[in-house]
Amino acid sequence: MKKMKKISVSYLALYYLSLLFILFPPVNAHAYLDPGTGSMILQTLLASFMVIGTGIGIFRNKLKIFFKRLFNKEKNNNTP
Amino acid sequence: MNFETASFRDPSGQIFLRDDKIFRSIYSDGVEDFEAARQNSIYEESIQNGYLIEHTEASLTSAPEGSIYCIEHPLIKMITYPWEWSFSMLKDAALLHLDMMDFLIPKGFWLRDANAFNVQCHNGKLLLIDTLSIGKRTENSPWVAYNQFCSHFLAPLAVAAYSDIRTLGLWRANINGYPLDLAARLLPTLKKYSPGLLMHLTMHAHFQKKSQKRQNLKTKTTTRPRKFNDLALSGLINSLRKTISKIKINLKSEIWSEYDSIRTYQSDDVIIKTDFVRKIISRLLPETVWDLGGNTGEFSMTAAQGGAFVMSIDGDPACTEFIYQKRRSQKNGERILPITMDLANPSPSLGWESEERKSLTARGPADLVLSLALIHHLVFSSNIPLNRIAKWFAAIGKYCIVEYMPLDDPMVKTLTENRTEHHPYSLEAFKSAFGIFFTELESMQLNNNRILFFFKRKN
Repeated sequence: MKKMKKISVSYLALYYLSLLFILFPPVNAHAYLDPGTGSMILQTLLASFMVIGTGIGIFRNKLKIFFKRLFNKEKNNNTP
Repeated sequence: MNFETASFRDPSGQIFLRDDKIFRSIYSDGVEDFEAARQNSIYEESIQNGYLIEHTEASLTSAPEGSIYCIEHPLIKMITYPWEWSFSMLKDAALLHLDMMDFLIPKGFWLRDANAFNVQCHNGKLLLIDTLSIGKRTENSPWVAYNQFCSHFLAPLAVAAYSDIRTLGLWRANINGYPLDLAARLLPTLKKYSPGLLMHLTMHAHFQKKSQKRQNLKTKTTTRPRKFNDLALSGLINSLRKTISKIKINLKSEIWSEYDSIRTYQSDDVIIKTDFVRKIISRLLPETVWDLGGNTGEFSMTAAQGGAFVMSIDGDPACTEFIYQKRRSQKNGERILPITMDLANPSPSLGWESEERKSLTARGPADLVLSLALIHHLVFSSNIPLNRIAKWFAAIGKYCIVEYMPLDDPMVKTLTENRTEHHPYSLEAFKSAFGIFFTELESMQLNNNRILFFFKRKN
Protein backbone atom coordinates (compact mmCIF):
# COMPACT_ATOMS: atom_id res chain seq x y z
CA MET A 1 0.00 0.00 0.00
CA LYS A 2 2.79 2.38 0.99
CA LYS A 3 4.72 1.49 -2.18
CA MET A 4 1.58 2.19 -4.28
CA LYS A 5 1.15 5.58 -2.60
CA LYS A 6 4.84 6.47 -3.28
CA ILE A 7 4.49 5.54 -6.96
CA SER A 8 1.26 7.53 -7.43
CA VAL A 9 2.83 10.60 -5.72
CA SER A 10 5.88 10.47 -7.97
CA TYR A 11 3.66 10.16 -11.09
CA LEU A 12 1.64 13.17 -9.87
CA ALA A 13 4.82 15.20 -9.40
CA LEU A 14 5.95 14.17 -12.90
CA TYR A 15 2.56 15.27 -14.30
CA TYR A 16 2.78 18.74 -12.74
CA LEU A 17 6.42 19.10 -13.76
CA SER A 18 5.60 18.24 -17.37
CA LEU A 19 2.79 20.79 -17.30
CA LEU A 20 5.31 23.42 -16.30
CA PHE A 21 7.71 22.16 -19.02
CA ILE A 22 5.03 22.69 -21.66
CA LEU A 23 3.72 25.99 -20.40
CA PHE A 24 6.97 27.60 -19.28
CA PRO A 25 8.41 29.28 -22.33
CA PRO A 26 12.01 30.51 -22.77
CA VAL A 27 12.83 33.94 -21.34
CA ASN A 28 15.07 36.67 -22.71
CA ALA A 29 18.64 36.12 -21.46
CA HIS A 30 18.92 39.90 -20.93
CA ALA A 31 15.87 40.13 -18.71
CA TYR A 32 16.98 41.41 -15.31
CA LEU A 33 13.35 41.56 -14.25
CA ASP A 34 11.68 38.45 -12.83
CA PRO A 35 8.77 38.03 -15.25
CA GLY A 36 6.89 35.83 -12.79
CA THR A 37 5.97 32.23 -13.61
CA GLY A 38 2.25 32.85 -13.15
CA SER A 39 2.35 35.88 -15.45
CA MET A 40 4.11 33.94 -18.21
CA ILE A 41 1.68 31.01 -17.92
CA LEU A 42 -1.35 33.33 -18.06
CA GLN A 43 -0.06 35.03 -21.20
CA THR A 44 0.52 31.69 -22.88
CA LEU A 45 -3.02 30.60 -22.00
CA LEU A 46 -4.46 33.88 -23.27
CA ALA A 47 -2.34 33.74 -26.47
CA SER A 48 -5.05 32.11 -28.61
CA PHE A 49 -7.65 34.67 -27.47
CA MET A 50 -5.21 37.50 -28.19
CA VAL A 51 -4.50 36.18 -31.70
CA ILE A 52 -8.23 35.76 -32.40
CA GLY A 53 -8.97 39.22 -30.96
CA THR A 54 -6.28 40.85 -33.09
CA GLY A 55 -7.48 38.95 -36.14
CA ILE A 56 -11.07 40.08 -35.59
CA GLY A 57 -9.85 43.65 -35.14
CA ILE A 58 -7.83 43.57 -38.37
CA PHE A 59 -10.78 42.00 -40.27
CA ARG A 60 -13.18 44.59 -38.86
CA ASN A 61 -10.90 47.44 -39.93
CA LYS A 62 -10.53 46.01 -43.43
CA LEU A 63 -14.33 45.69 -43.64
CA LYS A 64 -14.74 49.32 -42.53
CA ILE A 65 -12.24 50.53 -45.16
CA PHE A 66 -13.98 48.42 -47.84
CA PHE A 67 -17.44 49.85 -47.10
CA LYS A 68 -16.07 53.37 -46.81
CA ARG A 69 -14.50 53.10 -50.27
CA LEU A 70 -17.67 51.52 -51.63
CA PHE A 71 -19.94 54.29 -50.36
CA ASN A 72 -17.52 56.99 -51.46
CA LYS A 73 -17.46 55.43 -54.95
CA GLU A 74 -21.26 55.37 -55.07
CA LYS A 75 -21.42 58.97 -53.88
CA ASN A 76 -19.00 60.05 -56.63
CA ASN A 77 -21.00 58.13 -59.30
CA ASN A 78 -24.29 59.70 -58.17
CA THR A 79 -23.08 63.31 -58.07
CA PRO A 80 -23.54 65.00 -61.48
CA MET B 1 31.67 58.29 -8.49
CA ASN B 2 28.38 60.10 -8.08
CA PHE B 3 25.80 57.47 -9.03
CA GLU B 4 22.11 58.29 -9.11
CA THR B 5 20.64 56.68 -5.99
CA ALA B 6 17.82 54.95 -7.89
CA SER B 7 20.00 53.54 -10.65
CA PHE B 8 21.33 50.16 -9.59
CA ARG B 9 18.82 47.37 -10.30
CA ASP B 10 19.48 46.87 -14.01
CA PRO B 11 22.95 45.38 -14.63
CA SER B 12 22.92 46.73 -18.22
CA GLY B 13 23.83 50.24 -17.20
CA GLN B 14 23.83 52.98 -14.61
CA ILE B 15 23.15 56.70 -14.31
CA PHE B 16 25.84 58.94 -12.87
CA LEU B 17 26.34 62.67 -12.44
CA ARG B 18 29.38 64.62 -13.56
CA ASP B 19 29.79 68.42 -13.66
CA ASP B 20 26.02 68.91 -13.06
CA LYS B 21 25.24 66.77 -16.10
CA ILE B 22 23.51 63.39 -16.35
CA PHE B 23 25.25 60.46 -18.01
CA ARG B 24 24.36 56.81 -18.52
CA SER B 25 26.98 54.07 -18.64
CA ILE B 26 26.27 50.99 -20.68
CA TYR B 27 27.96 47.89 -19.30
CA SER B 28 28.67 44.62 -21.11
CA ASP B 29 25.23 43.20 -20.24
CA GLY B 30 23.57 46.02 -22.14
CA VAL B 31 25.88 46.25 -25.16
CA GLU B 32 24.04 43.83 -27.45
CA ASP B 33 20.65 45.53 -27.03
CA PHE B 34 22.18 49.01 -27.21
CA GLU B 35 24.08 48.32 -30.44
CA ALA B 36 21.08 46.59 -32.03
CA ALA B 37 18.72 49.46 -31.17
CA ARG B 38 21.21 52.02 -32.40
CA GLN B 39 21.86 50.14 -35.64
CA ASN B 40 18.13 49.84 -36.38
CA SER B 41 17.48 53.56 -35.66
CA ILE B 42 15.16 52.57 -32.81
CA TYR B 43 16.46 55.33 -30.54
CA GLU B 44 16.30 57.96 -33.27
CA GLU B 45 12.72 57.12 -34.21
CA SER B 46 11.54 56.75 -30.61
CA ILE B 47 12.90 60.21 -29.82
CA GLN B 48 11.35 61.69 -32.95
CA ASN B 49 7.99 60.13 -32.10
CA GLY B 50 8.14 61.79 -28.68
CA TYR B 51 8.37 58.53 -26.69
CA LEU B 52 11.94 58.51 -25.45
CA ILE B 53 14.24 61.07 -23.85
CA GLU B 54 17.03 62.17 -26.14
CA HIS B 55 20.67 61.29 -25.66
CA THR B 56 24.01 62.00 -27.25
CA GLU B 57 27.02 59.72 -27.16
CA ALA B 58 29.70 60.93 -24.76
CA SER B 59 33.32 60.12 -24.04
CA LEU B 60 34.27 57.36 -21.64
CA THR B 61 36.60 59.66 -19.67
CA SER B 62 35.55 59.63 -16.02
CA ALA B 63 32.92 56.96 -16.76
CA PRO B 64 32.71 54.19 -14.17
CA GLU B 65 34.82 51.06 -14.54
CA GLY B 66 33.29 48.52 -16.88
CA SER B 67 31.58 51.11 -19.12
CA ILE B 68 31.57 50.12 -22.78
CA TYR B 69 29.54 53.12 -23.93
CA CYS B 70 28.54 56.39 -22.30
CA ILE B 71 25.60 58.62 -23.27
CA GLU B 72 24.49 62.00 -21.97
CA HIS B 73 20.87 62.91 -21.25
CA PRO B 74 19.30 66.34 -20.71
CA LEU B 75 18.72 67.18 -17.05
CA ILE B 76 15.15 66.74 -15.88
CA LYS B 77 14.05 69.73 -13.82
CA MET B 78 12.13 67.70 -11.26
CA ILE B 79 11.91 63.97 -10.66
CA THR B 80 8.50 62.98 -9.33
CA TYR B 81 7.15 59.64 -8.18
CA PRO B 82 3.95 57.68 -8.91
CA TRP B 83 2.66 58.31 -5.36
CA GLU B 84 2.67 62.01 -6.21
CA TRP B 85 1.07 61.82 -9.64
CA SER B 86 -2.48 62.55 -10.62
CA PHE B 87 -4.65 59.69 -11.88
CA SER B 88 -4.46 60.94 -15.47
CA MET B 89 -0.68 61.29 -15.37
CA LEU B 90 -0.34 57.64 -14.30
CA LYS B 91 -2.79 56.64 -17.05
CA ASP B 92 -0.82 58.63 -19.64
CA ALA B 93 2.39 56.96 -18.45
CA ALA B 94 0.72 53.54 -18.95
CA LEU B 95 -0.46 54.45 -22.45
CA LEU B 96 3.05 55.72 -23.29
CA HIS B 97 4.43 52.25 -22.50
CA LEU B 98 1.79 50.63 -24.72
CA ASP B 99 2.49 53.13 -27.55
CA MET B 100 6.17 52.23 -27.33
CA MET B 101 5.40 48.52 -27.45
CA ASP B 102 3.20 49.01 -30.55
CA PHE B 103 6.10 50.85 -32.16
CA LEU B 104 8.80 48.35 -31.11
CA ILE B 105 7.12 44.96 -31.71
CA PRO B 106 7.05 45.09 -35.55
CA LYS B 107 10.75 46.02 -35.49
CA GLY B 108 11.71 43.00 -33.37
CA PHE B 109 12.19 44.95 -30.12
CA TRP B 110 10.27 45.39 -26.90
CA LEU B 111 10.46 46.98 -23.46
CA ARG B 112 12.44 44.90 -20.98
CA ASP B 113 10.57 46.50 -18.10
CA ALA B 114 7.41 48.54 -17.54
CA ASN B 115 8.41 50.59 -14.56
CA ALA B 116 6.36 53.68 -13.62
CA PHE B 117 9.52 55.40 -12.35
CA ASN B 118 10.90 55.29 -15.90
CA VAL B 119 8.36 57.91 -17.01
CA GLN B 120 9.07 61.53 -16.15
CA CYS B 121 7.76 64.92 -17.20
CA HIS B 122 10.35 66.77 -19.29
CA ASN B 123 9.56 70.13 -20.89
CA GLY B 124 5.89 69.52 -20.30
CA LYS B 125 5.77 66.07 -21.92
CA LEU B 126 5.81 62.59 -20.47
CA LEU B 127 8.81 60.65 -21.76
CA LEU B 128 10.42 57.30 -21.09
CA ILE B 129 13.73 58.19 -19.48
CA ASP B 130 15.32 54.73 -19.33
CA THR B 131 16.92 54.26 -22.73
CA LEU B 132 18.06 50.76 -21.75
CA SER B 133 14.46 49.64 -21.24
CA ILE B 134 14.46 48.97 -24.98
CA GLY B 135 15.79 45.55 -25.88
CA LYS B 136 15.63 42.89 -28.58
CA ARG B 137 12.47 40.81 -28.39
CA THR B 138 12.95 37.18 -27.51
CA GLU B 139 11.18 35.27 -30.22
CA ASN B 140 8.03 33.42 -29.20
CA SER B 141 8.28 34.61 -25.63
CA PRO B 142 5.46 36.30 -23.70
CA TRP B 143 6.18 39.82 -22.50
CA VAL B 144 8.69 39.74 -19.64
CA ALA B 145 7.34 43.04 -18.26
CA TYR B 146 3.62 42.09 -18.26
CA ASN B 147 3.67 41.42 -14.51
CA GLN B 148 5.33 44.76 -13.79
CA PHE B 149 2.98 46.65 -16.12
CA CYS B 150 -0.07 45.26 -14.35
CA SER B 151 1.24 46.06 -10.87
CA HIS B 152 2.66 49.50 -11.69
CA PHE B 153 -0.16 50.78 -13.89
CA LEU B 154 -3.27 48.64 -14.22
CA ALA B 155 -3.75 47.83 -10.54
CA PRO B 156 -3.29 51.37 -9.11
CA LEU B 157 -5.48 52.92 -11.82
CA ALA B 158 -8.31 50.39 -11.39
CA VAL B 159 -8.30 50.68 -7.60
CA ALA B 160 -8.17 54.51 -7.71
CA ALA B 161 -11.06 54.68 -10.17
CA TYR B 162 -13.34 51.99 -8.74
CA SER B 163 -12.56 52.16 -5.04
CA ASP B 164 -11.26 55.62 -4.06
CA ILE B 165 -8.78 58.04 -5.62
CA ARG B 166 -7.02 58.38 -2.27
CA THR B 167 -5.78 54.80 -2.69
CA LEU B 168 -3.07 56.25 -4.97
CA GLY B 169 -1.36 56.82 -1.64
CA LEU B 170 -0.87 53.01 -1.42
CA TRP B 171 2.07 53.52 -3.76
CA ARG B 172 4.18 54.78 -0.86
CA ALA B 173 3.78 51.46 0.93
CA ASN B 174 4.21 49.39 -2.25
CA ILE B 175 7.01 51.05 -4.16
CA ASN B 176 7.60 47.99 -6.32
CA GLY B 177 4.04 48.08 -7.57
CA TYR B 178 0.68 47.04 -6.13
CA PRO B 179 0.31 43.36 -5.24
CA LEU B 180 -2.27 42.14 -7.76
CA ASP B 181 -4.22 40.10 -5.21
CA LEU B 182 -4.59 43.18 -2.99
CA ALA B 183 -5.78 45.25 -5.93
CA ALA B 184 -8.29 42.56 -6.98
CA ARG B 185 -9.62 42.40 -3.43
CA LEU B 186 -10.21 46.18 -3.34
CA LEU B 187 -12.27 46.20 -6.54
CA PRO B 188 -16.07 45.98 -6.50
CA THR B 189 -17.27 42.54 -7.71
CA LEU B 190 -18.79 43.84 -10.95
CA LYS B 191 -15.51 45.48 -11.93
CA LYS B 192 -13.37 42.54 -10.84
CA TYR B 193 -15.13 40.33 -13.38
CA SER B 194 -15.33 42.81 -16.25
CA PRO B 195 -13.42 41.31 -19.24
CA GLY B 196 -10.16 43.28 -19.20
CA LEU B 197 -9.73 43.42 -15.43
CA LEU B 198 -10.78 39.76 -15.12
CA MET B 199 -7.92 38.68 -17.39
CA HIS B 200 -5.15 41.08 -16.42
CA LEU B 201 -5.88 41.58 -12.74
CA THR B 202 -8.14 38.95 -11.17
CA MET B 203 -6.92 35.89 -13.11
CA HIS B 204 -3.39 37.27 -13.13
CA ALA B 205 -3.43 37.43 -9.30
CA HIS B 206 -4.80 33.88 -9.19
CA PHE B 207 -2.07 32.50 -11.45
CA GLN B 208 0.63 34.31 -9.49
CA LYS B 209 -0.61 32.75 -6.29
CA LYS B 210 -0.83 29.26 -7.77
CA SER B 211 2.65 29.42 -9.25
CA GLN B 212 4.14 30.62 -5.95
CA LYS B 213 2.97 27.39 -4.32
CA ARG B 214 4.96 25.39 -6.86
CA GLN B 215 8.13 27.46 -6.52
CA ASN B 216 10.02 24.69 -4.76
CA LEU B 217 9.68 22.46 -7.83
CA LYS B 218 12.65 22.51 -10.19
CA THR B 219 11.82 23.76 -13.67
CA LYS B 220 13.62 23.48 -16.99
CA THR B 221 12.90 25.17 -20.27
CA THR B 222 11.46 22.92 -22.91
CA THR B 223 13.00 22.16 -26.28
CA ARG B 224 9.54 22.75 -27.84
CA PRO B 225 8.32 26.07 -26.41
CA ARG B 226 4.69 27.04 -26.77
CA LYS B 227 4.53 29.88 -29.35
CA PHE B 228 3.74 33.45 -28.36
CA ASN B 229 4.22 35.18 -31.67
CA ASP B 230 4.09 38.89 -32.55
CA LEU B 231 0.36 38.69 -33.26
CA ALA B 232 -0.31 37.36 -29.77
CA LEU B 233 1.96 40.02 -28.24
CA SER B 234 0.24 42.79 -30.22
CA GLY B 235 -3.08 41.33 -29.12
CA LEU B 236 -1.97 41.47 -25.49
CA ILE B 237 -0.91 45.11 -25.84
CA ASN B 238 -4.20 45.91 -27.56
CA SER B 239 -6.15 44.24 -24.77
CA LEU B 240 -4.18 46.16 -22.14
CA ARG B 241 -4.78 49.42 -24.02
CA LYS B 242 -8.56 48.81 -24.13
CA THR B 243 -8.59 47.92 -20.43
CA ILE B 244 -6.56 50.98 -19.39
CA SER B 245 -8.50 53.36 -21.64
CA LYS B 246 -11.80 52.23 -20.13
CA ILE B 247 -10.67 53.05 -16.57
CA LYS B 248 -12.01 56.54 -15.94
CA ILE B 249 -12.06 58.64 -12.81
CA ASN B 250 -15.30 60.25 -11.77
CA LEU B 251 -14.43 63.11 -9.46
CA LYS B 252 -16.88 65.48 -7.80
CA SER B 253 -17.44 68.53 -9.92
CA GLU B 254 -17.17 71.08 -7.06
CA ILE B 255 -13.63 72.00 -7.98
CA TRP B 256 -14.66 72.71 -11.56
CA SER B 257 -17.45 75.07 -10.50
CA GLU B 258 -15.09 76.80 -8.03
CA TYR B 259 -12.62 77.33 -10.87
CA ASP B 260 -15.32 78.80 -13.08
CA SER B 261 -16.41 81.23 -10.37
CA ILE B 262 -12.83 82.48 -9.94
CA ARG B 263 -12.46 82.92 -13.67
CA THR B 264 -15.69 84.88 -14.11
CA TYR B 265 -15.38 87.06 -11.00
CA GLN B 266 -12.06 88.26 -9.67
CA SER B 267 -12.21 90.29 -6.47
CA ASP B 268 -9.87 93.27 -6.15
CA ASP B 269 -7.72 91.38 -3.67
CA VAL B 270 -7.19 88.47 -6.04
CA ILE B 271 -6.12 90.94 -8.73
CA ILE B 272 -3.72 92.70 -6.32
CA LYS B 273 -2.33 89.35 -5.18
CA THR B 274 -1.82 88.18 -8.75
CA ASP B 275 -0.08 91.44 -9.69
CA PHE B 276 2.22 91.20 -6.66
CA VAL B 277 3.26 87.65 -7.56
CA ARG B 278 3.64 88.53 -11.25
CA LYS B 279 5.80 91.57 -10.45
CA ILE B 280 8.16 89.61 -8.19
CA ILE B 281 8.52 86.78 -10.66
CA SER B 282 9.33 89.19 -13.50
CA ARG B 283 12.11 90.72 -11.35
CA LEU B 284 13.45 87.48 -9.83
CA LEU B 285 13.06 85.29 -12.94
CA PRO B 286 13.06 82.03 -10.96
CA GLU B 287 13.70 78.85 -12.91
CA THR B 288 11.71 76.67 -10.52
CA VAL B 289 8.69 77.64 -8.45
CA TRP B 290 6.89 75.41 -5.93
CA ASP B 291 3.31 76.50 -5.34
CA LEU B 292 2.35 75.02 -1.95
CA GLY B 293 -1.39 74.43 -1.67
CA GLY B 294 -1.83 75.11 -5.39
CA ASN B 295 -5.58 74.34 -5.31
CA THR B 296 -7.00 75.19 -8.76
CA GLY B 297 -3.60 76.40 -10.00
CA GLU B 298 -4.36 80.08 -10.58
CA PHE B 299 -1.08 81.29 -9.08
CA SER B 300 0.83 78.36 -10.58
CA MET B 301 -0.34 79.70 -13.95
CA THR B 302 0.87 83.20 -13.03
CA ALA B 303 4.32 81.74 -12.29
CA ALA B 304 4.26 79.64 -15.48
CA GLN B 305 3.42 82.73 -17.54
CA GLY B 306 6.54 84.30 -16.02
CA GLY B 307 8.61 81.54 -17.64
CA ALA B 308 9.17 79.31 -14.62
CA PHE B 309 8.81 75.56 -14.28
CA VAL B 310 6.12 75.23 -11.63
CA MET B 311 5.43 72.33 -9.33
CA SER B 312 1.91 72.82 -8.01
CA ILE B 313 1.54 70.86 -4.79
CA ASP B 314 -1.80 70.12 -3.15
CA GLY B 315 -3.00 67.52 -0.69
CA ASP B 316 -6.28 67.03 -2.55
CA PRO B 317 -5.93 64.55 -5.45
CA ALA B 318 -8.98 66.17 -7.08
CA CYS B 319 -7.00 69.45 -7.39
CA THR B 320 -3.99 67.65 -8.87
CA GLU B 321 -6.23 65.88 -11.38
CA PHE B 322 -7.98 69.15 -12.22
CA ILE B 323 -4.74 71.02 -12.94
CA TYR B 324 -3.30 68.10 -14.94
CA GLN B 325 -6.33 68.06 -17.21
CA LYS B 326 -6.63 71.85 -17.51
CA ARG B 327 -2.97 72.45 -18.28
CA ARG B 328 -3.30 70.78 -21.66
CA SER B 329 -5.60 73.51 -22.94
CA GLN B 330 -3.90 76.53 -21.35
CA LYS B 331 -1.07 78.55 -22.86
CA ASN B 332 2.13 77.85 -20.86
CA GLY B 333 0.17 75.15 -19.03
CA GLU B 334 2.79 72.58 -19.97
CA ARG B 335 5.21 74.35 -17.58
CA ILE B 336 3.07 73.24 -14.61
CA LEU B 337 3.54 69.83 -13.02
CA PRO B 338 0.79 69.17 -10.46
CA ILE B 339 1.53 66.70 -7.68
CA THR B 340 -0.40 65.40 -4.68
CA MET B 341 1.26 65.76 -1.34
CA ASP B 342 0.16 66.40 2.22
CA LEU B 343 2.45 69.29 3.17
CA ALA B 344 2.38 68.23 6.81
CA ASN B 345 3.59 64.80 5.66
CA PRO B 346 5.61 65.44 2.48
CA SER B 347 7.14 62.62 0.43
CA PRO B 348 9.85 60.92 2.48
CA SER B 349 12.97 59.18 1.20
CA LEU B 350 12.01 55.60 0.39
CA GLY B 351 13.39 52.40 -1.00
CA TRP B 352 16.76 50.73 -0.70
CA GLU B 353 18.98 52.28 2.00
CA SER B 354 16.18 54.79 2.47
CA GLU B 355 17.63 56.94 -0.30
CA GLU B 356 16.58 55.23 -3.52
CA ARG B 357 13.59 57.55 -3.97
CA LYS B 358 14.22 61.06 -2.72
CA SER B 359 12.26 63.11 -0.23
CA LEU B 360 10.76 66.41 -1.35
CA THR B 361 13.42 68.37 0.56
CA ALA B 362 16.21 66.39 -1.12
CA ARG B 363 14.83 67.38 -4.55
CA GLY B 364 14.96 71.08 -3.72
CA PRO B 365 15.47 73.85 -3.03
CA ALA B 366 13.15 75.71 -5.37
CA ASP B 367 14.15 79.20 -6.48
CA LEU B 368 10.80 80.49 -5.22
CA VAL B 369 8.14 79.01 -2.94
CA LEU B 370 4.58 80.35 -3.00
CA SER B 371 2.59 79.93 0.21
CA LEU B 372 -0.69 81.69 -0.45
CA ALA B 373 -3.67 81.09 1.88
CA LEU B 374 -1.77 78.18 3.43
CA ILE B 375 -0.05 79.07 6.71
CA HIS B 376 -3.22 79.03 8.81
CA HIS B 377 -3.95 75.46 7.69
CA LEU B 378 -0.53 74.29 8.86
CA VAL B 379 -0.83 76.10 12.23
CA PHE B 380 -4.45 75.24 13.07
CA SER B 381 -5.22 72.00 11.18
CA SER B 382 -1.80 70.38 11.60
CA ASN B 383 -0.71 72.10 14.83
CA ILE B 384 2.68 73.10 13.50
CA PRO B 385 4.31 76.14 15.18
CA LEU B 386 5.20 79.12 12.98
CA ASN B 387 8.94 78.82 13.58
CA ARG B 388 8.92 75.18 12.37
CA ILE B 389 7.00 76.24 9.26
CA ALA B 390 9.54 78.99 8.58
CA LYS B 391 12.43 76.54 9.13
CA TRP B 392 10.96 74.10 6.58
CA PHE B 393 10.26 76.85 4.03
CA ALA B 394 13.93 77.89 4.33
CA ALA B 395 14.95 74.28 3.63
CA ILE B 396 12.87 74.05 0.44
CA GLY B 397 13.10 77.54 -1.07
CA LYS B 398 15.65 80.28 -1.62
CA TYR B 399 12.93 82.93 -1.76
CA CYS B 400 9.30 82.75 -0.74
CA ILE B 401 6.09 84.71 -1.00
CA VAL B 402 3.96 84.05 2.08
CA GLU B 403 0.43 85.26 2.75
CA TYR B 404 -0.37 86.05 6.40
CA MET B 405 -4.07 85.93 7.31
CA PRO B 406 -5.02 87.50 10.67
CA LEU B 407 -6.96 85.61 13.38
CA ASP B 408 -10.18 87.50 12.63
CA ASP B 409 -10.07 86.52 8.94
CA PRO B 410 -13.22 84.48 8.09
CA MET B 411 -11.16 81.58 6.66
CA VAL B 412 -8.99 81.43 9.79
CA LYS B 413 -12.07 81.64 12.04
CA THR B 414 -13.54 78.48 10.52
CA LEU B 415 -10.44 76.61 11.72
CA THR B 416 -10.32 78.14 15.21
CA GLU B 417 -13.99 78.15 16.26
CA ASN B 418 -13.78 74.78 18.05
CA ARG B 419 -10.34 75.40 19.45
CA THR B 420 -9.39 76.85 22.82
CA GLU B 421 -5.65 76.34 22.47
CA HIS B 422 -3.23 76.74 19.61
CA HIS B 423 0.36 77.75 18.95
CA PRO B 424 1.08 81.51 19.03
CA TYR B 425 -0.45 83.12 15.94
CA SER B 426 -0.27 86.87 15.36
CA LEU B 427 1.53 89.27 13.02
CA GLU B 428 4.31 89.71 15.60
CA ALA B 429 4.69 85.95 16.05
CA PHE B 430 4.72 85.48 12.28
CA LYS B 431 7.38 88.16 11.68
CA SER B 432 9.46 86.87 14.57
CA ALA B 433 9.35 83.24 13.34
CA PHE B 434 10.15 84.06 9.72
CA GLY B 435 12.75 86.65 10.78
CA ILE B 436 14.93 83.82 12.15
CA PHE B 437 15.36 82.27 8.71
CA PHE B 438 14.45 84.99 6.22
CA THR B 439 15.05 88.65 5.42
CA GLU B 440 11.91 90.58 4.50
CA LEU B 441 12.37 92.23 1.11
CA GLU B 442 8.86 93.51 0.45
CA SER B 443 5.32 93.40 1.80
CA MET B 444 1.86 94.49 0.72
CA GLN B 445 -1.35 94.75 2.70
CA LEU B 446 -4.52 93.64 0.94
CA ASN B 447 -7.96 95.23 1.43
CA ASN B 448 -9.09 92.32 3.61
CA ASN B 449 -6.18 92.88 6.09
CA ARG B 450 -4.21 89.96 4.76
CA ILE B 451 -0.54 90.72 4.15
CA LEU B 452 1.76 89.36 1.46
CA PHE B 453 5.45 89.05 2.34
CA PHE B 454 8.36 88.50 -0.01
CA PHE B 455 11.27 86.87 1.84
CA LYS B 456 14.85 85.95 0.98
CA ARG B 457 16.48 83.02 2.78
CA LYS B 458 19.34 83.92 5.13
CA ASN B 459 22.52 81.90 4.51
